[in-house]
Parts: sequence; C-alpha cells; structure tokens
Amino acid sequence: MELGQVGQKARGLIVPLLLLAVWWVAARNGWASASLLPPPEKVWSTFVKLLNEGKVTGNLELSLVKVAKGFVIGIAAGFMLGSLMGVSRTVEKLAGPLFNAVRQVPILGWIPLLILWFGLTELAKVIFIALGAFYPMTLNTFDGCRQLKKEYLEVARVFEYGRLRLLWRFTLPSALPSILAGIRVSMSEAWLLVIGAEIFFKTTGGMGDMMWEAKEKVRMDVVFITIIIIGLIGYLLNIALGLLESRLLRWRGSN
Amino acid sequence: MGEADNMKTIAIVDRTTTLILGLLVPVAIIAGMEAVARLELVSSQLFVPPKVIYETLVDLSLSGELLRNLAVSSLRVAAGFLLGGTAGLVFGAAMGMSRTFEAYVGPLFHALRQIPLLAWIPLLMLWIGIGEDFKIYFIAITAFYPMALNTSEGVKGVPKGYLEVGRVFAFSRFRLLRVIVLPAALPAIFTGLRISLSISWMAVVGAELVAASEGIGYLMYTGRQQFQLDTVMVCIIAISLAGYAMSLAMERIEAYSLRWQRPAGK
Repeated sequence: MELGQVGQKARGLIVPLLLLAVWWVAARNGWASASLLPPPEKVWSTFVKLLNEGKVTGNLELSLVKVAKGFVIGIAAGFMLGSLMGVSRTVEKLAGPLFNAVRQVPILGWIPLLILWFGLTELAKVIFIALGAFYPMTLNTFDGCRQLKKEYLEVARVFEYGRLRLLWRFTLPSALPSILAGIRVSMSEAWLLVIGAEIFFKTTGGMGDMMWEAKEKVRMDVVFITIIIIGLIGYLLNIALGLLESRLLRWRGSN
Repeated sequence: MGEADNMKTIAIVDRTTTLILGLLVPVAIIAGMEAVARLELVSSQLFVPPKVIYETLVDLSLSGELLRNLAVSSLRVAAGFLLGGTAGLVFGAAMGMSRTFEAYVGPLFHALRQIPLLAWIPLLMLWIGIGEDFKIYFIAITAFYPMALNTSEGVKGVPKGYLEVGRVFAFSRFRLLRVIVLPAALPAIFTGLRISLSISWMAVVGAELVAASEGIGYLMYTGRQQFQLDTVMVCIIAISLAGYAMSLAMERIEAYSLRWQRPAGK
C-alpha cells in the first residue's frame, strides 16, 4: 500500500525528469545556442556562485521589503474600506460604484500614471503594489461582513450592542475566513506586482531587476535562476499564509 | 392597488437615492479636480483638468488613433486568448478526465503555475524576440492557466451519476466528453474563460508597455514619455472601458449558453 502511494507520487516526477534529460542532451549536443539554453549544470554552478556572492539574498531582501510595505498598506486600506462598506449601506452606496469603476483599470495600466505622478521612486512602486493588494482585500472583507447571519444581528439587538461592539464581537469573527482568504490573494498579487514594479519602473535592485538585467546581458542561466527563486518564494509565502489561516480558524472546528 | 403603487414609488425613490449617492463621490472628485486646475494649485504637468481630458478623448477618437490602437491590442488579445484558451481547455479536460494523465503532468503544471506571469516576459523576449509572436505567446501563457485549472476542476466535478448514465448507454470516450462531461462542466469552463480574458487584457497592456510600436499600451507609454498626462488618462479610461465591455459580452454569452441550466418557467 505504502509502496503504491510512493509509486503514485513518483509518476509526477517522470515528465520533469524527462524534460531535464532532453534539456541536458540538447544543450550538450548544441541543438540550441548555449546562450539561449545553457546546460543544467551551468545553471546550477551560476546559482552557487550568485549565492556565495550574496547577490540572491541581497536582491531578495530588497524585493521582500517592498512587498511588505505595499502589502501592509494595501490590506490595511482594503480592510477599512471593505468593512465600512460591509457594515454601512450608506458607505456602500457612496463608495461602491466608484470602487467598482476604478477596479476596471487593469493594474498594469496604472504604471505610466504612477511614473508621471511620483517618478521612478520607491514610493511609486509601493503604491503600485499596495493597489494590487487593496482590491482583493476590499472585496473579500466586504463579502465576509455581508455574510453575517440574521440570528447574530438579533442577538446583538437583544443585548443592545453598540455598532462597534457588534462589529468586534460578531461581524468580524464571522467574516474572518473570507478576510483571511483576501489576505492570501492580496499577498500573491503583491508578490507578482513587485516583480512587475521592478521591471516596469526600471529599478536598481530586487529580483525583478536582477532578472531584467540578466535578460539585457543575455544571461539565460541567471534568468532561469531568478524565475525559479521568484516562483519558489511566492509558493512559500502562500504556504505560510495557509498555515496561519488554518491556525486562526481552528475555533471553527471541522465543519 | 394603492399599496402596490406605494411599493413601486418606494422602489423608484430607493433606486434614485442609490444612483445619486453613487454619483456623489465621483462628481465631487471631478469638481474638485476642475477647481484645483482652475486655481492652479498643482503644477499642470502632474495634473490635468477633466475638461482637457475630455477634449483629448474627443481628439484621439476623431483622429482614429484611439480606435486603431485599441483594435491592434484587441487582435493581439484575440490571438493569444484563442491559442492559450484552447490549449488550456484541452489540457484541463485531459487532466480532469484521466487520472493517469493528471498523475504524470499535474505536479509539473502546478509547479509552473507558481511562476508569476510577469516573470515570463524576460524569458520569452530572449527566446522569441520582441516581435508580434512575443506578445501573442505571452498572452497565451497568461490565458492558459486559469482556463486549464477551471476546466479540470469542472470536469472533475461532474456528478458520478451522469457518467454512469453514459456507461449504461455504452458511450465512447469522445461521446461521453461531448454529450455529458463538457456540458456539465460548462459553468466552470465559463469561469475560466472570464478570468482568462480579463488577465489577457492586462497582459497585452504589459507586453505593449515593454516592447511595441503600436497598440493601446504603447500609446499610453508614449504619452508618459512625452509627459502628456491627458493622453495617459484617456488611454487608461479606454483600456478600462474596453475591458469592461469584453467582460460584459462574455457574461452575456455565458448567460445565453447556460440558459438551459435554469429551471423551467424562470
């Protein structure tokens, strides 16, 4: 039984290993130019070299700091607007239509405007990332607050809860799963956009810039490495937030 | 009679207040912008009065520049979306139908999905240059993932009972797919189409910002370079409206295609 399960999992490795083998053979026999398809061992040795030089960690840190700033601003703003719209119909009617109209702007469309307004500064990038994190957070918080069951409202009325107390005791806890899902979506959006910010805003430093510079110098090995690292970090961030989510939602039991 | 009329009046009043409240903030913002521009509180390089934006919109529309660039971008989206969407549909259906196929390629698919979409840009530029192919492949990649994911989920979610009916009738695999699986998975497939289309529209703007000589993203890029804030604003509005129109059209097609799903009489 155990062995069978291992076999099941191993099947997923066959295709990637096959691709790796084809890649290796192709690079070895020079089927593709070495600058466009560097052999796997070259990618590995470059990775070790970059790691030793501290280039990977240094750039990663720059990107992570940017993401952290934009993410925190974005989810804080999204939480506020989303919960206000969720709790008050008046706020929803006032801000909802504008929010939905602005949301139609594809996120990359903001770049030229942000550059004109703020220049190629750190601030422009942080605002760009914050904007990307803001939308999903607002929507999820709003949806979560709206899902408050009627019964809870009645209980609150019986106990004569004030608005704030109702929000704190009932609305937010029942909206928590939706809010946490919003945080997760916002984080993956922020991680995508920091790479975009570093590419489109012509930054120096950061994973996106490292990748772009490698592209300019036709260093395919470095491009590969940065792509793998970017993908891996995004995956780890997602897993970390998933763990946090299940921990915070333990009280819900298994229903 | 009187009661029904009353209800109707209340409904109308309610809708009107909703409309007025919804317009309040945008109108206030536009008026504020106009006032700021008139009083010259902010440098005109950073700030364009709504009137100028409107005039630029009219200019660019009348000269045909706006529509021409929008058409170029739309054609790119159409090509990339068609390529990526079709590939995603086939791949997703295969993953949903066959456990063996999923066991072999599923892990690779999910690993590649971790790569942020924008990270494909440098790779594609090195591999296939900065021509038309680059834009179309980039859009195709962005359209592929949501389509594949939603199709495979949709196909996997087809109720077992339906499949058994197919087995009773001794349907071939292909017939099973066409008559039972795909119609049952259609709502999920449409979700995939909608997400793919909106991501494609974002992707074309991204691709045109990096490397293009025409298209709406390029128009915006040149506007930025020449410090024409009004052109940038008009492009943003045009991009958003076109994206919105596309998603509305997609919703219509969805509602029409899924009309048989609604219970009779509704």
